[in-house]
Formats: sequence, C-alpha cells, structure tokens
Amino acid sequence: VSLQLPLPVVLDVSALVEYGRGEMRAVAVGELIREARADGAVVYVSALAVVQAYDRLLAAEGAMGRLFELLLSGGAETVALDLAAAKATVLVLQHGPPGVGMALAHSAVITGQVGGELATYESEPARRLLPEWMVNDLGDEGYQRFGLS
Amino acid sequence: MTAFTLDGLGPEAARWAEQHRDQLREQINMQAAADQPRPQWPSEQARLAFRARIRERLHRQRTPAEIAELQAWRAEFLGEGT
Repeated sequence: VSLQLPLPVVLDVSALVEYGRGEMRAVAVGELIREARADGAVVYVSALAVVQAYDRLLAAEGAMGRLFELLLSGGAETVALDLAAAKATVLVLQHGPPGVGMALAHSAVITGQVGGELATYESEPARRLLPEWMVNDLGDEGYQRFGLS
Repeated sequence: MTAFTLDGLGPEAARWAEQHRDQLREQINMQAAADQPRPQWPSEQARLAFRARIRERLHRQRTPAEIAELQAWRAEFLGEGT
C-alpha cells in the first residue's frame, strides 16, 4: 500500500456538526480544513454524514449556512454510498460496537479506502472501527493540548 | 436565515436547483457571511501550535506495521487482496 501525502482527511458527523454550529469547539475542525486545503489534502465527507449533520443542525441558528458553504464551495468532497461502499459499511457495522450509526461506519469505510485520517470529536466509537492511528481526535487535541475551552 | 431545505426534492426541483446552482451558491454564501462571527482561537500561539500538529499528522509517513494493519483492515472490510 502506498499512501499519498498529505493524507486525505475525512470529516465525520461530529466534525460537520461542530463546524456548522461555529462555537468555540469549531476552531479545531476549521483550522484542520484550512490546513488541509492549503496543503493540497483532499477533504471528504460521507453523504450519510451530511444528512445526519443536516438533521442535527436544523434548529441551530446560522449553522446551515456554514455547513452548505463548506459543502458547496469545494471545501469538502461529498462521497455517495455506492453498492460496494454499502456492503463494506454493513460489514463495519456488524463488527463495530453497538450503537454506531451508519454515517460513522461509512465515514470509516471512506477513511480506509483513501488511507487517510478520520477527524472526529467523538473518537471512542471511531477507534473501534478503524486502527487508532487513523483517527484524529479533534476534541482531545483541541481542548487539552491547546487550551481551548 | 433563509430557509433551504432538501426535503421532498423531486426531479423537477432537482433540475431547478441545478439550473440555479450559482444563484443558490451565492445565496448560501450570503447566509454564511451573515452568520454569527466565527469563533476565535484564545491566542495566535495556540492556533499556530495546533496547525503545526495538524501539518505533522498529514505528512507523517506510516510505519510498516501501520501499513500492514491498514492492509488487513482493507482485506477484512473492503475485500482487497482476497
């Protein structure tokens, strides 16, 4: 396996939701997207994650504009769930811990396919779907290492 | 915020959206601009330190053990190499 550098980045639902909400926690994912784009790294999002983030952000004032601006401005590439990915997603779900959603499982599949990193604010379930080094814990790094609160 | 919903988007609406893509994009960008101010880092030093960490992660060569782990993961879930 030859992995391209810079590594592609996959944003999970939690990263999309935080980005949309635009509160203090969002600085980590915002900075990640800026660095990835400046560096030429591709940023992917699962179409399922987009739908789930959309549902979660419906009641959040101002959030939808930020989410759509990210998706439509070329800031992130949305990946559809084709048949092969659906099969892999179901396999991941079957092997994963209870309670993991299909959007996270599809995000993990994309991450494995592109050999990239899954950026998330909810790292525990993600670490049970992927090798630990493929999970970028934005919550941990954003809050504990850099004093964000 | 201007309402923007995908609920019930049928073929005709999808065609309309495609034809008005630029207009929609402009509208959505305007929405984004009108949103509340984006959150700020507590300090420029913290922002640069975080960014350096991100850059390091994106450029880190994987170890042979990690590559082998990824290959095994792909074989199990994507059926590669089987």
